[in-house]
Amino acid sequence: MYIELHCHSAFSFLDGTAQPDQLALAAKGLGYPALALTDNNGLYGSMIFAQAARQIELQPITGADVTLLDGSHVTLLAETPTGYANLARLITEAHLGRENRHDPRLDFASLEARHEGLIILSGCRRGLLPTILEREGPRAAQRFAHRCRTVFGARNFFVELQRNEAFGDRYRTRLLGELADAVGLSVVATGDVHYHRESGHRLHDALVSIKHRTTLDGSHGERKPNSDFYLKSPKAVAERFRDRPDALANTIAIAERCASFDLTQDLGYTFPDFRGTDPTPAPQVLAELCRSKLDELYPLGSQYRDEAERRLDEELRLVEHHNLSGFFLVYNDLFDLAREVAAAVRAGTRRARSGLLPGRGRGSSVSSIICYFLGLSHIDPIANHLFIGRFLNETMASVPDIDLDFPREIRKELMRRVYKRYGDEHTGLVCTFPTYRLRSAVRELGKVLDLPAGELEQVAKLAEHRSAGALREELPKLPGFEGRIDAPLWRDLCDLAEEIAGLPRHISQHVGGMIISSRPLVELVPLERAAMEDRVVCQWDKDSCDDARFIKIDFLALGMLSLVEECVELIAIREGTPPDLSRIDFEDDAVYDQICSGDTVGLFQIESRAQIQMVRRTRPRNLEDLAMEVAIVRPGPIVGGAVNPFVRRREDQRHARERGEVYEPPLDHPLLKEALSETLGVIIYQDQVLQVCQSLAGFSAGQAEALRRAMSRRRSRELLEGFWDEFRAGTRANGVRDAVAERVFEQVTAFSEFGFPKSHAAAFGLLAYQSAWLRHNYPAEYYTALFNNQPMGFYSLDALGRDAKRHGIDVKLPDINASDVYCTVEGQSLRVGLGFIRGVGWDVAEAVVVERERHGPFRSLGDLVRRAPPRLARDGIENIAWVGGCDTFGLTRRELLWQVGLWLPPKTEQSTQRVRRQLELPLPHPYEGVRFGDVAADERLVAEYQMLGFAANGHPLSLIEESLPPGVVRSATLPNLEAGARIEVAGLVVARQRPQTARGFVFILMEDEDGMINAVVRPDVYERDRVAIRGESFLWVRGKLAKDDGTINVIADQVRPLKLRRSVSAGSANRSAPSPYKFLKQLRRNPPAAKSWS
Amino acid sequence: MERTAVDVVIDSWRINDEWWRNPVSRRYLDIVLEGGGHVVVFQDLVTGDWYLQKP
Repeated sequence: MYIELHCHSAFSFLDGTAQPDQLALAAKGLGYPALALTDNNGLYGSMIFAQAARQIELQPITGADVTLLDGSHVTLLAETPTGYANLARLITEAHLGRENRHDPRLDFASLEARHEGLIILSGCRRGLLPTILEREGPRAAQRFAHRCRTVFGARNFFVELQRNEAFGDRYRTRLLGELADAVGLSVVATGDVHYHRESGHRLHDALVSIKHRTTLDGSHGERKPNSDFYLKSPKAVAERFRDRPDALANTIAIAERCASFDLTQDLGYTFPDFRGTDPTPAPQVLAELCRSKLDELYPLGSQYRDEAERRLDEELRLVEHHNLSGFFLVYNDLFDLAREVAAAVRAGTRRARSGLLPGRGRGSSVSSIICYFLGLSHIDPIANHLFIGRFLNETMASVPDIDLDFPREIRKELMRRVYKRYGDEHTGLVCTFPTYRLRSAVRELGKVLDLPAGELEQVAKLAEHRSAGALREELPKLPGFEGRIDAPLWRDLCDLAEEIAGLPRHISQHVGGMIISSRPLVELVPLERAAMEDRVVCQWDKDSCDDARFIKIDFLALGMLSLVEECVELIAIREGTPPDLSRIDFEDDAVYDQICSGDTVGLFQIESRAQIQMVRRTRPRNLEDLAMEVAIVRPGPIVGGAVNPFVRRREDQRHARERGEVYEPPLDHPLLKEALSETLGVIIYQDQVLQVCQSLAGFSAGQAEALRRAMSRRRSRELLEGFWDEFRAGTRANGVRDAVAERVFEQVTAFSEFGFPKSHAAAFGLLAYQSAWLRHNYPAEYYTALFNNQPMGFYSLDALGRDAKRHGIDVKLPDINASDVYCTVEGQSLRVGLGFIRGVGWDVAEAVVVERERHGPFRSLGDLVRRAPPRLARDGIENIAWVGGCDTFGLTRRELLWQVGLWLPPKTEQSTQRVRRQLELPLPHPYEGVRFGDVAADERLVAEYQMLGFAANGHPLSLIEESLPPGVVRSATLPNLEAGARIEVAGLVVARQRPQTARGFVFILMEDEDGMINAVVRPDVYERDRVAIRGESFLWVRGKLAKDDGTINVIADQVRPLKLRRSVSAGSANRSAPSPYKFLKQLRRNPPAAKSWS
Repeated sequence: MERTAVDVVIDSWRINDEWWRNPVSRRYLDIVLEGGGHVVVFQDLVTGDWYLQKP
């Protein structure tokens, strides 16, 4: 009867409200045998759609609504694999051929040149023919239709008729029909679908308003005129076109023609072939390569030789079974390329001789002995008892993932070189689609509803970071918004937020996934420019790439590796030779003592508030312990309830060991012994999920593989829950009680949340130890590198600076004659770089340093103004003076600021660059001798926060200590107080978290002059004191002291903004002394940075 | 209002707007009446009432 051939999903970005799978389901429900997805200038959702449609036996038709140079549209449908390749190429051209990457357009001539295998529809109301008809009249339209008939053929070009009860539809479709008849073209009916059900029109209106950055009222001319642009039943459409049965019949004919192309099967992707220099077959080359390494890394007679040999044979067999030898050899080539890049990046540095790897493996590939031999992993899989099944197994349906971490600068260059080696047309980055969450939904939808901006910001700030759909639940909990869910417009906001939840907002770049294809990638998936210059992304995310069976290579940037690079370089500068981090003492008690005491700020993976508390109780003493440590504070083990039992059992194990006893961890079932003994009876690693299913429920390798794939997919929870019947059947067969099976299965499904494979944990645990070793032995170098590699980790520079101090490293303020661009080591101090000062910037700082190196130190403020690059504006010079960068000239900061005013015109008179006023002769200024007192301590502190974002010296609380509420105790006192004592504490907020896994509990990490204070806030207290907890930089907390085997928490029952005693807070009679009130107020304006809600 | 028979419906269209304020939902008919009169009428789809659009 009718098949819909013009349909937009949410992947038309702000022009569609339905997910592709929703459309497929709706079409099936309405009785369609097929449906075309034709998103705007993209195939972003086409694979999701095709997969979803195939599952419910709906024929997916792949197409796109492409914008031409004049702004008109044309609908293209892939009839054959060649047509699909042409479609992908044309879309790529529309994107890459434009200067503005947000405005893709295709030259019609390109379509004329490359239309084989495509069926072309003339487009919507803004389509090719309607546009000419409207602008130039029927004759011009007829001429153009003739041309289309000639170029594309009457069989491949159809005049599209759309009737959505819009004004002019009848007239337009009549004219278009007549025109088609006149030139011998066929007509086809389409529905211009933008939402799957009629009620979707509201959200569509809102999305169009967001797109045009206006309100609903302001977007009247852009919105659809009515709610008719939904997926109607074939019968309803047939009724509308009963006067043109040919238009209906043609939809069926076109769908039948398009049935010869199936996106889920016909892509024809192949990974680049391994091309050796001689004709030796790839399996042989790989085996020889590995065996040569076997002798080197596991010499004959060594402890693990036999096991290594067995493992290698097994892996080589699996690799050959899956025909993956070439795949590994291409990776080997890539890693050779990475070695070249690393050598080039490190050339001329001292660390070039340090033996640093170009990068490191992460993820499940670290468990492979082949990867270990090829250098793709640096962890011995045999010595570390790493399970290979997660990475390679008999029944796997897709190619294994090999993820590689690199220092940022090496990764950047490596990606460039990969493009060069394989060619632009063969290489692209995997994309991601950021989706609407609560905060973005509130801001954007609230704006189109014209709600007060201040109130929207308040909601966005106070509400939890969660699904946009939760707004209706969240709003009544916010102070001042209790009755809003039923108020006009706010009610609409809640409705729309529910609908927009999870919809893609735009395309973005995946953190490091790259696709390389032997066939031009542009024929498999369209490419477009990423926001970063020189980067090209493909229009599919990792799941679609996986469905297409593309091989994704993950080149990830790991800040800690960049830090290690720099730290090793700094050590080499101090000591002459760089340390070899692969040969350090991995059992250094002093390093583990520091970790076990919770002194881990700034270390890799074990620095978070939760980790600090955890290590004090679990007390890791070797790399294996550290691997468990980095793996356990992840959503998978947390949701699975592994954390508390693990911590308790670690303590029991330690106590048993102290008593000289052997500790046997309790297990849910004896069958779990082999899988879970190592982790004391709980599931910590992803691999254990598979092992548990195999040992307890007798899962076959195929079932385990299906489970593995399900774990890494979107909506993995539902997928994992789908294994329950098989699991229970298996456990029953093994005689396991249902209650035990249910309990274990809960832990299994928890791994729909993120978790680490053991191999990944081993790699990260090793890096955690190396970071701890570097900080312990070379703290000045470590903190300097840590400062220079921000942003990374859990803490702000402010908190890191004070932690450096606690380790005896003085953080020195910038000095115009001593600072470099970045931070540098000065003995046991860290000198802050000029580039860190707000208003200076890295380029200008570099120019200043170059000038100083060429012509000597700056001698005075006037000299600095004369010689510094003109791009260093007055603001920048003042900021340098404010943070002590010009103290070297022997003047007070007020005197320096006065002199800036003498040498430079007022800010109002200058542009972004500095304007010179007759300063070429180095003559003194008549008023430069005027003397001023120095700025007060509180002013300095505020200036540091304002200009640097952190305070190099002093803690803000030190300046208001005298005025703090009576009864406040300091962090240093807490260990001496009795557990259960009622106490009050105050501090600067360093971090605040409300993990989704913590059932509404909030954790606040505060800092006073002595150290950190952990406060735990119950959900009821949080609801009451939410405004202070979410928004204030300085908090006063009253509660009960809780102590548990080395961890100290304040269980808060009241949280307030820091209030000062009235009697002393107004400031003293001495006007120059700091006023605590004023100081706090100023600091609120320039709050010290805190890592919040991450 | 005087009742007159419809000769031809030239066009019909529908609008849905201002759902966030006071929803407007109307079906318009552009018609030629018997005797040659040309009018646009609309039905308010919320209330069901019919209106004559002023020229």
